[in-house]
Amino acid sequence: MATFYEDPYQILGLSRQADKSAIKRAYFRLVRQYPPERNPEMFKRIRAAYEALRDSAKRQESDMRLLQDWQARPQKQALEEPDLRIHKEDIIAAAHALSDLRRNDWRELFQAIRFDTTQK
Amino acid sequence: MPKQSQAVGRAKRMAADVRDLGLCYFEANDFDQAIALWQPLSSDAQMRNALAEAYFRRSLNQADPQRLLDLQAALSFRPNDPRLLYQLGLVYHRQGQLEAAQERYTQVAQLTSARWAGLARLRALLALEMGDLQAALHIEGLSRNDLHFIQMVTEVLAGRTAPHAHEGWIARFWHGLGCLAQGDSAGALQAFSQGKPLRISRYQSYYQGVAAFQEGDLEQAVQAWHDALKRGYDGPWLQHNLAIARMALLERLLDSDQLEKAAELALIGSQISNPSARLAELESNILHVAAQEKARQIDWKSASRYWEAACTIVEAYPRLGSPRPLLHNLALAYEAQEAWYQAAETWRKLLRSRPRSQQVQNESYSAEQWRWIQRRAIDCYKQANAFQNAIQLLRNALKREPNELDLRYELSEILFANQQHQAAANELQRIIQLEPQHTRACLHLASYRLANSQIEQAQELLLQLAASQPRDSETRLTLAWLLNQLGQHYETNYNGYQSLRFFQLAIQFAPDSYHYRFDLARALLRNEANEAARAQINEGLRIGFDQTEAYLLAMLCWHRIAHEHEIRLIIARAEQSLSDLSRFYLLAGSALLEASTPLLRARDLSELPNRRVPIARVWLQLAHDLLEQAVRQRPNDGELHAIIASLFLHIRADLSLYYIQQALKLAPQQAELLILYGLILELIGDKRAGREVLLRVSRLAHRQAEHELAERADYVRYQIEQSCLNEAIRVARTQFEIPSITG
Repeated sequence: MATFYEDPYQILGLSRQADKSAIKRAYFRLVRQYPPERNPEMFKRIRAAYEALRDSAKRQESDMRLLQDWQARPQKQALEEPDLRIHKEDIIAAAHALSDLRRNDWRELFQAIRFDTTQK
Repeated sequence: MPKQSQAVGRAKRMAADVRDLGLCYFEANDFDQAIALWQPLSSDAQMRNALAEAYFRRSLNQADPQRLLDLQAALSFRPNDPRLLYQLGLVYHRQGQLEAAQERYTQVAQLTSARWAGLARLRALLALEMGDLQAALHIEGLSRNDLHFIQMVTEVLAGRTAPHAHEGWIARFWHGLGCLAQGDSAGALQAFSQGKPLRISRYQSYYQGVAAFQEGDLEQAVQAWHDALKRGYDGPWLQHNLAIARMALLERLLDSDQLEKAAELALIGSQISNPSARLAELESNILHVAAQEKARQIDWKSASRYWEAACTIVEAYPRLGSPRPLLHNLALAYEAQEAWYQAAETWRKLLRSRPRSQQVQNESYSAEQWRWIQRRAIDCYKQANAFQNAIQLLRNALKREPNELDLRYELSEILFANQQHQAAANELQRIIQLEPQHTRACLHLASYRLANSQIEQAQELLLQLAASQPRDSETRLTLAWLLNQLGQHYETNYNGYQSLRFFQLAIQFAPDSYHYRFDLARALLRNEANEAARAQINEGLRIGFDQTEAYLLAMLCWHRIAHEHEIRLIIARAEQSLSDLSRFYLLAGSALLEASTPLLRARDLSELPNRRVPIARVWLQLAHDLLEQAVRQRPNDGELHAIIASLFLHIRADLSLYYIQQALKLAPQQAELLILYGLILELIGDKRAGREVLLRVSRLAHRQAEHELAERADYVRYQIEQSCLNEAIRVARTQFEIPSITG
């Protein structure tokens, strides 16, 4: 796939459901509008778009190479009002966090173990 | 008695050993092992003390339920240890068993005269939690700081503004909460915006978001709430509030045409849990539209990021619709970036989403389109060299459609590419079983069989194909080539009848190829059918009348039966038909020398008498004449002289010397020529001069920074010194080789 993206239907001003004769008509209309001697770049794009759609095998390939439209199905469930209260649980939890309750390191409470060797 | 006292002594020593071993584990913090060793000795007072310490230390590494059990075990050995009671109180407190916690805290207070650090604050907090605000402020042992802290918490709980807003971050936090409680969101925002104390950052972030939302600063609210989420704030209202704020912010951004900013916000949103289907709808739509916009701007990287995020949202909310168009676009975006593996995986994901029911199928892609998608997945895997994935995909497809021969053929090709030759051949065989006239499979399998010396099977396939008389020109040419290969096999194995048969068959399918005519002519000459061979040679020359190669092949046919006269006739015909005669003379001389010296490649030069490959005088003379003709056509071509010199290296080194000297007259400083010259001097026996030349070339090349040439000169000299003449010749003539026509 080329690194640029051009939708041949868009260039020819057609919908993706356009039939063969509509494609042909659009092509000739645009060629008259942008003759190659005056608009070589535009003509190249029109020609390339037409080539991409003119026969059914190429058109299928082109169609599959096109970006697909998509829209999410509308959802009905509305959001309720925000809850902006101060929660007692949070106050207590914050206070807990500032006390020994959330402390992990208690090394200063450790006592050394020594055995009386005379008991051996 | 002495025996009994000995046994007691032994038991005591063993117990002491166990105790000490337990101590080793204890000191290595392996409390499980220490407890297991000490537990049987718990009747001893020292051991009870040690066990209490081991349980205590182990409890600190445990989650609360297990910690509780360990602390209870420790207390069973040391019932009045305030450390253990305090820890037990903490566990109960965290678990919300407030009365039990209070009881333990009280015990600690009694045992330590309320001087245990941190105890007073906890007791006050506990009183607050139990709803006794007054008691909280009058706990024994509260320090000034503790009192201040409890006052701030009390104020906030009572819905008042906490004082002392400027006494550090923690005070500002309580002040901010107080402001919020009073409805002063601006004051709260100001208090929360001045740094975050680490231990309560999640709460501060959350309430900063609340204040910002109340102030209408949606961006700050969303940012603060994202931050709270990241820091582990787990209040269920956060997700709800965040969804409302994100939704409002996204709508605001869209209203002001800031699609990209909205997409970036939706991108972050796709990574966090979202309770709102409406928000998912909005975010996925934004991401898709932004991705399309990026694709139009050729920014495929951003486009793929957005579609990835949209796919994630739709996967979480299947009610939003089919993700197929999103996956389709994402795969195209990956392909545009040549991210083949991701593209393949995305096409494959799309394939997996294929609906099973026919009715629903009709609403998505047509059968032909599904096949296209499958082909893309396979091609992308191939591009990514992920052959195994492509094989798996094809095998799955073949399970559904075992008679789909194109798929099976594709599978065989990928298996060959993945070096699974036997499996590939089996697939080809299967195709032929299903469709005996499948020409591509027959040709491919025949080629595989030929390459693997499975001659009979190859022959059977080729004869079947030949009998079917395929019409397609490419098929006919391939068939001819394979038949000719088979003919060559028989020719090599001296089976004249079969070689003639297959060369003739090859000509039937490629009548306009002169190569096969000469192969047939050669086989006919071997069978002494000279006139028939002459007819084939003439036909070959008629077809390839303007091709140097045709005349060379014709010459070689007659050379096989040593018909010098016929060769001269061919040369005369070539002189009349070809435009570049110099090239013809050179190639013809070279081909004759090569065809006349079969020993040339068979043996090491140094093993031959006089280091010369023997050659019949007649062929040497004819070849020399031809090469001289070439020189007459291009007398000032130094390279031509050097090529001729290299042709005679194995045969007549004196002639090589003559031609290299001629070449050096035309280009005296050319290093490649000098390397060849040095070698030739060695071959004619002037070893000293040869080595001097090679040394000189090496120095010259070094001076001219032509290090590769210098290395080559040194290498040739080294090989000569090691008596590896063939290798020396191979390297010295590298620049002056011409392709072999005799194969």
